[in-house]
Amino acid sequence: MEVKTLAKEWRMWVLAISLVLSLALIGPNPVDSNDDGTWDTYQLTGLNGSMGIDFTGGSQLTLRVENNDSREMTQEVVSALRGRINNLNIPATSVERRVEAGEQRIYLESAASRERVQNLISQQRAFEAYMPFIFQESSNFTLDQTYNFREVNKTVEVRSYSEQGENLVSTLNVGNTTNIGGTTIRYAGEEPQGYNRMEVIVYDNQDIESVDRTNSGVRSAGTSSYRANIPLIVTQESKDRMQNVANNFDVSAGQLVMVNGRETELTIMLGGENVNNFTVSSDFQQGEVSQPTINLNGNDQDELRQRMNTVENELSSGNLPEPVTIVSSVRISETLGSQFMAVSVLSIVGSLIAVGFIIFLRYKNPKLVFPIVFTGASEVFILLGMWFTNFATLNLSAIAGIIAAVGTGVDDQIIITDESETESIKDWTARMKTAFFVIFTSAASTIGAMTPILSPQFSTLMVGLTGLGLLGYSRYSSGANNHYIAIGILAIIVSAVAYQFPLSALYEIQEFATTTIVGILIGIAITRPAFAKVLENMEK
Amino acid sequence: MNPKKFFNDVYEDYDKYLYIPVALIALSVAALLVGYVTQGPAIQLGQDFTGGTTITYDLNQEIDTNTINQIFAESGHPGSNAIVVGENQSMLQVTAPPPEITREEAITIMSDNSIKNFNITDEDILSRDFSEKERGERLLMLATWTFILAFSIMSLVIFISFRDLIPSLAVIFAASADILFAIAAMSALRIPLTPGSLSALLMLIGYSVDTDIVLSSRVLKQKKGSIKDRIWSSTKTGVTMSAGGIAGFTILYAVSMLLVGPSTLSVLSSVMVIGLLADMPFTWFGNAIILKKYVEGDIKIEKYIDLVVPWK
Repeated sequence: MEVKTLAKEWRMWVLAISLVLSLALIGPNPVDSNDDGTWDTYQLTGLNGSMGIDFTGGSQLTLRVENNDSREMTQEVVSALRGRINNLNIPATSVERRVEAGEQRIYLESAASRERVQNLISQQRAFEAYMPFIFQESSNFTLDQTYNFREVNKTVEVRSYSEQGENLVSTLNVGNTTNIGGTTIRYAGEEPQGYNRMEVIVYDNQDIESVDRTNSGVRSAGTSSYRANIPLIVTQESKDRMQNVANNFDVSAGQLVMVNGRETELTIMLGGENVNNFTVSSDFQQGEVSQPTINLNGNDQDELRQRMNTVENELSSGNLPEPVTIVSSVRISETLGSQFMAVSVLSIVGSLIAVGFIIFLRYKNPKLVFPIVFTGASEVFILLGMWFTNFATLNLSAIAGIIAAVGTGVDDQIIITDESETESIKDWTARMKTAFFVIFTSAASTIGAMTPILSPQFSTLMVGLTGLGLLGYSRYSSGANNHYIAIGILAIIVSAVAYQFPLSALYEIQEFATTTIVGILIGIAITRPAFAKVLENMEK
Repeated sequence: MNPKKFFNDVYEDYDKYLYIPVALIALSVAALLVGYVTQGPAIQLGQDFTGGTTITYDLNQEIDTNTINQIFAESGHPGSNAIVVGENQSMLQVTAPPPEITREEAITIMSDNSIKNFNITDEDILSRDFSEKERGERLLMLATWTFILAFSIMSLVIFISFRDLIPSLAVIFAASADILFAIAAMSALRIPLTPGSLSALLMLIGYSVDTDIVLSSRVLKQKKGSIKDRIWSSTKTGVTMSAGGIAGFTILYAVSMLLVGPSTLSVLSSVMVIGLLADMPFTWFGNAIILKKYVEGDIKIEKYIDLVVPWK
């Protein structure tokens, strides 16, 4: 083999440049993993961001929007989730809207822990601030109008007044809530001395417009004790509500008090946990003060700051417009992920070696083994470098695609090798004619078989159009036989029936399809021509 | 044994060997019928297509899977299937049909039942995968159509490349028989239909025609050499191609079974190995014999087509 002649071939240069480019894109960087001062392993930095959860471990969720799974609402929830991913700073997480057999779905993939993913898709951390008031037997409470609360047989009856007299609004057992005048009131139970305790919910998640981050912060509160302030900006509606509620209380020493003379307290609940109890200033009655603040206490300044940030993020990440339900979920552990990685690497290397062995058995020519195995390996390398670093996610389905593409690649090289040995035909180009007919037909059938995975609608259309084409061809060409009509009609029937179904991409194996297609195209465009040239030189 | 001599012997009575693919097809149909009678659906469907819950427990102790199945049946989840997995056989994987089993239920079922109580906490649940029943049905519909369309496109590509009816039908026949055999093997060996095995079946559509295309193009397009020589040369090429594929996928199967046990990759590779093995008799005894008879002028189908398409 003349290296000099090969060096003049542009096909070899295309291959060489592709390999160098791939190496640069994959970017292997030496890493000192055990911190002993010597490089002991490589990190393929270019592929770091392309690893799917099959290898990194993580969660895959398909979600449906509850109540309203229209395209618009689903897209809105997707945007809300994206906002949360940014706010909560969850790494390696992607979310997109997908159509699954006509149904609007959300697909979420994340390498984060199960708890974090759960947090991400559940509604905002429950926030609630309530003020209690107590009464014996009966009491009035004024919101948009005056309501009467009355104890009847361990329950509380709520009545509104009108010109006709009293109307029963609701009867509350302990723990029940009622909504009157846009305010939620809960019957919390009995207290000593025959008091009944009602809790008026003045703020909840819906009322938070944002967290006032410019005024939030951690301050010292005595020796090794710190306090974090998180002021919340709330809606005008809830400010008015707070003023209305405050006006139902008496004032003593500038604070709101209940009928037993004790101060009422604004209690702040976060995720079902009581975090703060504040006495309430009478200023609320004039509506002058209306910004609720959450206080957190702690002994460690840094830890407290972190807690503050978490609470701020959770409250300001925005609620989902509608809650979501999990339609399907898969979780892959990190251990399993790294095992899958090992399997993939070993199998690809192992199959290339096995192919080399079979080539040797068949041709008894070690000189042939190297180019065939090298071409196969180049295909894997170029796929990894050019395709996976930028465009695709590397997961198990993609590995299957790589193996399929390399398999077809090796098949093609065997075809080229065998055709080149056809001694009856002297001309190299003529020999390659049959080889490339086989290669293109097999590539077209494989790519054709992969297309319905990615777009069944497009495939349906193509099948239908091909059917029409065959009918047209048989009409206008005298060379066409009757079977063109039969096959054309059959294709049109398949296409017409398929059209009746809400078909969509089969996302479960889409990486398999794209990898196979791209791999075959790389083979045809880059590696196969180079291999044919090497072989031609070997012959001479 | 000299392969060339073996081929010469076979070629003496080549037409008779058409019985091999016919027998294999009959066997496949029989296997599918047996599967249908004994298991309900002829091939088992994986969780992606049926819906349901798969829970993996970390149970560091000897486990009798029958007991686990009973526990789940008693808790209102009959038809659950428990297997032991993991490197030290220390993990228990239970697959239960719909309705969904929540994480909390998964703990209660194992820790609070009348058969055998395991002391399970939240941390012992390594994973819980779940899929809705309706989603499974939709995916199965998509999978079916993806397959039909893939097969249609492959057939059209073959037909447009070869233009002649009989050679095209011979290729399509070999490919369909191959896939039928693979599906029958899935039924007999209880390999479930999962995205992995579906990928393998779709891959087989592309793969199994490769050897057929080599054969047909050599026999039909090469002008020199006898038909026998052309079939022999394509057999050499085709068998090398198949051997490469079989070797590669056997290695994938072995490595994945050794390192992780049953997984997407093991299911995919086993279906591929079976399909590629079956491809050989269907190509060299099926497609090749039909082509030989066609080239020798023994098959005339045009007159039958005229009966079906009367207007031309």
